[in-house]
Amino acid sequence: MAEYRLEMRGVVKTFPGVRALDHVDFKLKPGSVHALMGENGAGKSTLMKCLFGIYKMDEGEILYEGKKVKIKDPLMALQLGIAMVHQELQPIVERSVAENIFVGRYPMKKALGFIPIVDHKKMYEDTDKLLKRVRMHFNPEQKLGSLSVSQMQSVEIAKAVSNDCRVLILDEPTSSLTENEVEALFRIIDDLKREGVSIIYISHKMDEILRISDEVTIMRDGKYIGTWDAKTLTTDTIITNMVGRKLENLYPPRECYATDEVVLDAQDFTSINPRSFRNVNFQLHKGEILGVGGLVGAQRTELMEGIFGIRAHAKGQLLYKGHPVKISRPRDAIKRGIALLTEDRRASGILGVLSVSDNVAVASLDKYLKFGIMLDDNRIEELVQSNVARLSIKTPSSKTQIQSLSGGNQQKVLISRWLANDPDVFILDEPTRGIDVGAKYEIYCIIAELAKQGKSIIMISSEMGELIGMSDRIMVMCDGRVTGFVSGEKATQENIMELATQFKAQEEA
Amino acid sequence: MKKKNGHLVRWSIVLIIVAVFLTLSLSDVVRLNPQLEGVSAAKLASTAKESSEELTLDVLIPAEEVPAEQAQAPETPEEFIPQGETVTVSDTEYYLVGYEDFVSYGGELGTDKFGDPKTLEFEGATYAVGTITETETLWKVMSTWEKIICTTAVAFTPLLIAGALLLVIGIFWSISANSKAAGISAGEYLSHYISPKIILHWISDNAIIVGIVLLAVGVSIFRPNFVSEANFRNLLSNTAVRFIIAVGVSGCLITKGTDLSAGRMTGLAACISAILLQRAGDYSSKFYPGVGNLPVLPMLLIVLIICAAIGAVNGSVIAFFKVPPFIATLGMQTLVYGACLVYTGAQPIGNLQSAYTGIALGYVGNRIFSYIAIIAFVVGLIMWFLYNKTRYGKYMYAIGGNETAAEVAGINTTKMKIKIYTLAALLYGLTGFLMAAKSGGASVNTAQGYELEAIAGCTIGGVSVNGGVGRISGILIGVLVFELLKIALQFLGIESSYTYIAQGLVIIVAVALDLRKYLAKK
Repeated sequence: MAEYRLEMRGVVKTFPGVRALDHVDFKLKPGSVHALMGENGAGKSTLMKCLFGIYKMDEGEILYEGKKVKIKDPLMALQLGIAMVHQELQPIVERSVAENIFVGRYPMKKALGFIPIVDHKKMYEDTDKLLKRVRMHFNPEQKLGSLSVSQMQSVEIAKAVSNDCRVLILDEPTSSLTENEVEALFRIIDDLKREGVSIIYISHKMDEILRISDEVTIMRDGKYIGTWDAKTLTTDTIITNMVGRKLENLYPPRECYATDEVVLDAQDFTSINPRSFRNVNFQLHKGEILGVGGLVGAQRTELMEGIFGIRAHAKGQLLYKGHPVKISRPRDAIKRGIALLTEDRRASGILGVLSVSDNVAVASLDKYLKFGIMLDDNRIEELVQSNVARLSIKTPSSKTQIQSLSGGNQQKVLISRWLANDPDVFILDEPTRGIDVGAKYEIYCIIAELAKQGKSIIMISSEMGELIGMSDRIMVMCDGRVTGFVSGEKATQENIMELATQFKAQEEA
Repeated sequence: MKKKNGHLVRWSIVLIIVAVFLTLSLSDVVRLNPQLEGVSAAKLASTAKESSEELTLDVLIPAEEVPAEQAQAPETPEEFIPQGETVTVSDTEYYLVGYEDFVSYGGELGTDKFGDPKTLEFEGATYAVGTITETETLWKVMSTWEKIICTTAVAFTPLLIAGALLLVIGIFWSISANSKAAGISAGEYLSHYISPKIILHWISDNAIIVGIVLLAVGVSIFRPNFVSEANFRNLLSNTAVRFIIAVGVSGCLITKGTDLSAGRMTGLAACISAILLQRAGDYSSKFYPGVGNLPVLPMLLIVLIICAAIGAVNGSVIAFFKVPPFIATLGMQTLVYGACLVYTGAQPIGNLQSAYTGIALGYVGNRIFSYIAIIAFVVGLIMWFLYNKTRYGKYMYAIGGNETAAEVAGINTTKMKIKIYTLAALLYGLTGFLMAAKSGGASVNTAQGYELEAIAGCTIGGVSVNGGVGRISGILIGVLVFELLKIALQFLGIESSYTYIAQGLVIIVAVALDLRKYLAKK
């Protein structure tokens, strides 16, 4: 057996305006868990997409089990035994779990001796076996759409594993998993490792990486920095290598700027969907950072979407600066001075085909008019450039299509969009999801600065450290209801978790 | 430094365009005044002053003044100085003259087939019809515009040469300034923009345009009379009309919708315009017998309002009831057809006022620049402004790019969609109005199927079915190129039945190529 199951040598990949991979090397040992780390835009996903045949490499070669291979498309990769579970899921929600797992390769049988039809019985049986292997207990026949996001991710892993893969690539697998589910994933990874499967694990979560990986490769700005034995690494070394400089603190030093003035008052706020948020009561003070914690499925996003007018509410009212307000569409909220940074920027945040400039200015065009009707391109360009500088947005130009920027830079563009309106209330839903350590710190500084200026901030976060490090107060939700408030100083992972699991979230299976 | 160079190039292009316009106007002046044919530019004015032109004026004489035996015309007729009122009957202008004056001017009476004086009834009185012939210098007879052209003609060619020179200088200057600013040699700078790889890429992105242009060039080589003023006028005239419709549909396409009712709406607008603007008179096909000549512009307004209302319905159904645009406009297409059928009773409409049809005949400078072409150009300018320099445009592209994100960003997507479909319908209305003027009539079949050509033109021109992308200049090129294809095939003698196949193929290939651009991530 070759020393390395997989070798990638001198990989180069360029996109218009951006060199995503610059002569990158990568070596994967058999039966090991190899973590791939780096800031956003470092090239980790791109490298894996080249391996999996989604992208074509401009230069470089791939050796699989010592032999040179040319992977033209994902089908070839799968046939070789390389499987990938993507960061962004592509589930076919209307079809069953089994169909999703076996999509494109349904087990067939012959009806009447010669007509090929799908063998549903075998498909469900095989699915059952697979699900048990990954320790999942759902009905293979149920619609995929009826599962939660984290469950869908588990199905994806089952699908990948079903291919008898020898190399499994997991791209940010735990981004929407609860702690229990993360543990379950780690058990699966252990099982697979024992079977001899090599696993490439892309993640930002350092504690996880240090726990389960054998080796760690770090990339920065499209370049290969180095590979280390996981046992020799510490969080600090990782960060230093990822960022290229030492980071003193993860969170900026903070004072509490909250005043007694109540800016937003939600009273008995209830969704029209009986299983979503209900009887929510909370108050947001001026200059306060109110963290919102809870498990996946706690309906925090749904609550904020309800407040912002994306979703309808059946009961309850909202008082803004003391006056009752009716918000039925996002622009009602925006007019009042509320901004929402959504959870899924690709689906409801960025205007993909439009330029960075258009994305920044789109919500505040009313302020940049000449003669009442014509857009003042010069002032808009000034606005964009000042934001690019202030937030360190990496983009070839202001006219670049936003979808070619990395996730973190896209998020910064969205933040600029809201800053341009100078709202009084910022609702941030997972503001640092998919953003590298360096950029995260920058965003935390921005948030802290906003609070200091008297803005009020609601921050939904699933990262305990972030929640505790940044919030003045934390509101915890479970299953659509507010279970309690914890002050920033007294907050610990334990007491937040206690409140987050208070109603023992029904088994989602 | 760069700004200055950019201006030089821009202004030299403007200069060239002006020079071309003036030269074309001159050729038109010569066409209308054959005596000036072959005369050099410097001698035009003097030639005009020396050549003579016979001018025939139509005259009406009160019938009772005409004796049975007509008087002799004098040896040297007096000069007729037209004064007093003129009267317009059946599109002809007549001067009113007494019989004695008429004879002294050397006028001739018109005769009917029996040899009796031709007569005309007008406002209760009977008049004899005659003509007075005047000899004038060409110069006196020419319009002010023609005079200006003749006097300044010497400058046209120099202007063109100057423009071309300045353009070349401007390009070189800008290349050298920009490359200096970037710190690289001019050759390197150019290779950035013009390398074989880049050219190949551009060709593959615009394959259809390149293909059709090559076809046109090919046709010009084998049938040289393809390149004629008449053909060009034809191309421009057809393009102008389809361009306005295409610009209307583009808003729908950019927001990931479509408008299949464009053709029928244009037809309806043409029919309504034609019906309202029929000549006063007593003929069988008059729709509203007894109604006189209605004023043209207010009728245009009525047509526009009707179309806007239909467009608003389209937009509302799509925005409020969330009916997919394909289905909503498909239904509207049939509805509008039915309405038109009912209203016109399936009768074609003709006999339009000359004030109305005159719009289609008018031009500025040269017949190439017809009023319709100019209207289309102005529409293009206004829409370009709207799409690029106003919030309307930004919101439209945003909705096309990602409607959910647009809504979250605070854009009123409902209002915008209604506006888009209403504006589209307004443009269809304008087009229908112009089409009836051009054809001198309309029927329920006018503009049938034009939406497909409009969508094809848009797609060829870069409006993506994925939404969020599309430029006015691209739409113009797309429509132009599609028309060019039709004309080229026609010129090659290919039956029109076959051209449908070619057009259909082009539409499919255009969309396929368009989608390829977005799938080319590998």
